[in-house]
Amino acid sequence: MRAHADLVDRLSHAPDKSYRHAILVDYFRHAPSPDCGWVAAVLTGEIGLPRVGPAALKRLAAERLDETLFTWSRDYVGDLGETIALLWPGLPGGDLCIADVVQELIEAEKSTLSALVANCLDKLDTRERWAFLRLVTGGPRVPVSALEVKQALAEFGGTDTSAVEEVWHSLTPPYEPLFAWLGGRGEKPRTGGLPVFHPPVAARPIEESDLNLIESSEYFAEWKWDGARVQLVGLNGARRVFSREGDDITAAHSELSALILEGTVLDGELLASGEVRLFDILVAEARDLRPEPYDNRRSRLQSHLEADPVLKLSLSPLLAYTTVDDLKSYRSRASEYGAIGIMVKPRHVPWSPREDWLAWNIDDRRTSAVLLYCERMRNGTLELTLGRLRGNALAPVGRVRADLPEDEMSKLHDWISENRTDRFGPVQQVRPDLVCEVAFSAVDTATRRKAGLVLRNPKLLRILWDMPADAVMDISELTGLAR
Amino acid sequence: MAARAMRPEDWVRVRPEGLYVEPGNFFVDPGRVVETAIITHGHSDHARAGNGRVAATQATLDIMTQRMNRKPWRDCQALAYGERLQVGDVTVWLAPAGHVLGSAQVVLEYAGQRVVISGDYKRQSDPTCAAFELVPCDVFVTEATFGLPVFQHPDPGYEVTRLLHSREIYPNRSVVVHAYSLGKAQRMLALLRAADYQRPIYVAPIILGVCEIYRKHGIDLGDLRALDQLENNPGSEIILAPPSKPGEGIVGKLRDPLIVMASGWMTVRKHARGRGAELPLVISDHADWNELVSTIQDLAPEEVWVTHGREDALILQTQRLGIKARALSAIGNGAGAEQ
Ligand SMILES: [Zn+2]
Ligand SMILES: [Zn+2]
Repeated sequence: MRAHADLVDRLSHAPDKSYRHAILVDYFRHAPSPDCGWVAAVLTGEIGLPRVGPAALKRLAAERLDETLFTWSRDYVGDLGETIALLWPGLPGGDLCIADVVQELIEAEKSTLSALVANCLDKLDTRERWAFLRLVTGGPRVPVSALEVKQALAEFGGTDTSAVEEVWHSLTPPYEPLFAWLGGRGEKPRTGGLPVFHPPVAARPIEESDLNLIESSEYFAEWKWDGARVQLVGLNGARRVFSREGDDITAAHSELSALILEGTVLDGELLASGEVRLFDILVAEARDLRPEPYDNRRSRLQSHLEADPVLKLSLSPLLAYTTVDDLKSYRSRASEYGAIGIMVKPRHVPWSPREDWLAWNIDDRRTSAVLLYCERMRNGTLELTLGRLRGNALAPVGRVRADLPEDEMSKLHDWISENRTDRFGPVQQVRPDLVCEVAFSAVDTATRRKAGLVLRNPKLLRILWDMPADAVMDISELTGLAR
Repeated sequence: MAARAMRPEDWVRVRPEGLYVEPGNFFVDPGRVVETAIITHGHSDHARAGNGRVAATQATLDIMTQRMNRKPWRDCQALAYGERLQVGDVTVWLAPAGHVLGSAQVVLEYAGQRVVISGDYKRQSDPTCAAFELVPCDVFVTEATFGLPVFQHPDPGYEVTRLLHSREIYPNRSVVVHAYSLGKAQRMLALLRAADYQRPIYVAPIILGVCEIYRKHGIDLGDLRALDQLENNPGSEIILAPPSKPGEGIVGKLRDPLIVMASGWMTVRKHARGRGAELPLVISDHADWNELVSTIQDLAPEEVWVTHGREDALILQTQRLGIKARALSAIGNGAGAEQ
C-alpha cells in the first residue's frame, strides 16, 4: 500500500488542481492493475466502503495502546485517526496491496470490521496506516473530484476524457480492461453503447477583460439558474441522471430519469422545484452533436422540446441584449427570476473541454451564523446547520457543506467532538458557540420554518474561531432582505 | 564527615546559566556567558559566543568559529573523542553523539560516579558524523526533543526516494529542500548521493560554508554549486536552502518551486501544513521515541534526567522500566533558577 499512501499523502498537500493532476497521472503510470482500478473507484466515490466510527476507533486504541501515552499523544496531534496511525505498533513490510484491502473491506461484515481494521493496521507502516484509516473513517475526503480522476486517466492513456467516461461506465471496479487499454496492453473495450456521462461545457467566472469581447452576434446570454447542473442521458435503452462531476444520481431522481427520451443527452440545471431548465443537447437521435456550434445545438434542443413537451423539462430562454449594460441590468434583476446571475456563451464554437462559458453571478452577500448541528453524510462530507437568534432562541437559517482546507477540517472535527451536546443518528448537536461566515445569493421567505426565512445558496466561507457567538446579530438583518 | 553518601545531584545541577558541574566549576552548553564551558555541538541552542574557556571537539570548534560573528571564546581546547581532560576535580571526556559533525556526549567522572550528558543525539546511521556510542553511567541526562511515542522516524532512504520521485512527477519544477544549515543540510546531501543522485546540487551560501568544514573533516558531499550558478529556468534541479518565509529568499525568485521540508516535526500533519510543505519528509537528526527509550534500556543507568523537549512521557516510560527519572529542571534547582 506504499504507492497508495504516497498518493494520498501527496494529494493532501498539493496546493492546486494542476499538481493533483500530475500526481494522479504519475500514480496511474506506475501502479499495477488491479490496484490502480480499485484506487480509481475509491477516489471517484464509485464504491462505498464500510465506515469505522470514532467510537470503534477509540475501542481499538484502548485494546492495543497504552492509555496515558495515547491520551497525551492525541492531545498533541489533534486528529484521532492520525494519532492511532502514528502510535500503532505495525510491522512494516507486510506488503498488503490496496486491491486486497479494498475488497476485504467491501465484503466485511459489520461484526468483523474492527478486527479486520486491526489486522490491516498490524501490517502497515505509519504513512500507510494513516491513508488506510482515512479510507475507513471516511474523512477528511481526498480533495479530488471524479472528473479530475478521469482527466488524469485520459492523459495517462493518451486519449480524451469522454472516451474514458464511455468505457468507465460500461465496466465495474477494478476496470481491468480500461487500464489494459490505457496502458497500451489491450484494445479499447467495446462499451456496448451503455449510457455514459458526456463531460458538459464547463464555465468559469467572467473577468473584466471578457466584457469588451461580448457582442450579441457572438455570444448568447441566458439566466444562470439557482440549482444543480445535471445531465440526462438516454442511450441504448437505459436512462441515467448524472451530476456535474459525472456521478450517477439516477436512483435519487427516478421520476426525472423516466422523462428522458432514447437517443439523447441533455444538459441543464435542476431547480429546487424539481423542474429542469435545459440549455444544451449533446446527443440527439443517437447522433453526437458536440462537433456542432452551440447555436445549432440550442435550436436542436428547442425543436426537441417542442416535439415532445414535458412539463418538468423546459428550455432556458435566451436574454435579448445589445450592449453589456443590458446584461448588467439583467444581472441586477436575476434574483427576481429565480436566477443567481447570467451566463454568457459563445454561439459559434463546438463543444470543447475548455471552460468556454462565462458565469456572471450576482455578487454574493455575506453574513455570519452560529453552528447548531452537524451531520455526517453517506459520502463522507459534513453538513452544517447554521442558525441566527430569533427572539431568544436560535433558529436554523441554512445548511452548508463543510468544504474547508484540511487543517481547518480537522480543527472543526475536534471542536465538534469536544462540544457535542446530543446526538440523533448521524446528526450531532453542538454547543452554540462557533461562528461561521457564509456567502449567500438571496434570502427566501419560508413561513413554515422557525426562522421564517432561509438563505439561498449558502456557502461556508470560513470559521470565525475567535468570534464570540453573542456577537452575531439577530435575525432581523436577514428578515429585511427576504422576499 | 556527613554520613550520607554523595549523590550525583550534589555535584551536577541546574543554574540560571545552564547545567553546572560544581567540583570543576564549569558548565555544559551554558545559555549565558560563563568562564568555563564544555560544548556538545555547534547548534546555536547549545553553542553560544563569548565564554572564557571552551572545550569541544575540533569539528565543533571549527563550526563555531565559522558561524559566529564575534570572537567565540577567549581560549579554546580541542578534545578528541575519548581524550581525558581534568577540570578541577572532575575528569571530562567526549563520546560521539551521532547528531551532527563533531557532536558529542559529555562524560563527567567524579567521586567514583559517572554522569553522561547526551546533548542532542540520534542512533540512525548517518555517514556525515561519528555514530553514537553507549557509555555506561550512573546518571544519563537525555534530550527529549521527540519525547512522545508519535515520533517514530521512518527509513530516511525511503523518504529521499520520495523526493526523487517528485522530479518525475514534475519535470519542470525545481525542488527546494528546506533544511537547517548545520547537520540536516549535509545529511540530506549525503542521503541524495547514497540514492545515486549525482547531479550538481545548488546550495545557499550559509550551507556551502558549513559543507566546506565537513569536507575538511573528510566528508565528501559531491558536486555542490552556489545558487548564483542556477540557470534562469532550472528545470527539476535540487536546491538546498535554510527555511525562509514564503516568497522570500531563493524561493521567492524561482517560478513554481516544489517546497520540501525535511524534519522530524513533519511526522505530524499539522506541523507540515503550518510550515507550507508540499512534500514533508520525516528525516531527523534527533533520536525518535524508540531510540530514546531503547538507549535508556541499553544503558540501564541508576537514574535518568530528562531535558530539552517533552519530558513527561519519557519520564513515565523510564519509570516503567524500573529506572528513576526526573526532569533535569528539577535537579538542584534553587529558587529562581528555572528558565
Ligand atoms: Zn542540535
Ligand atoms: Zn538542541
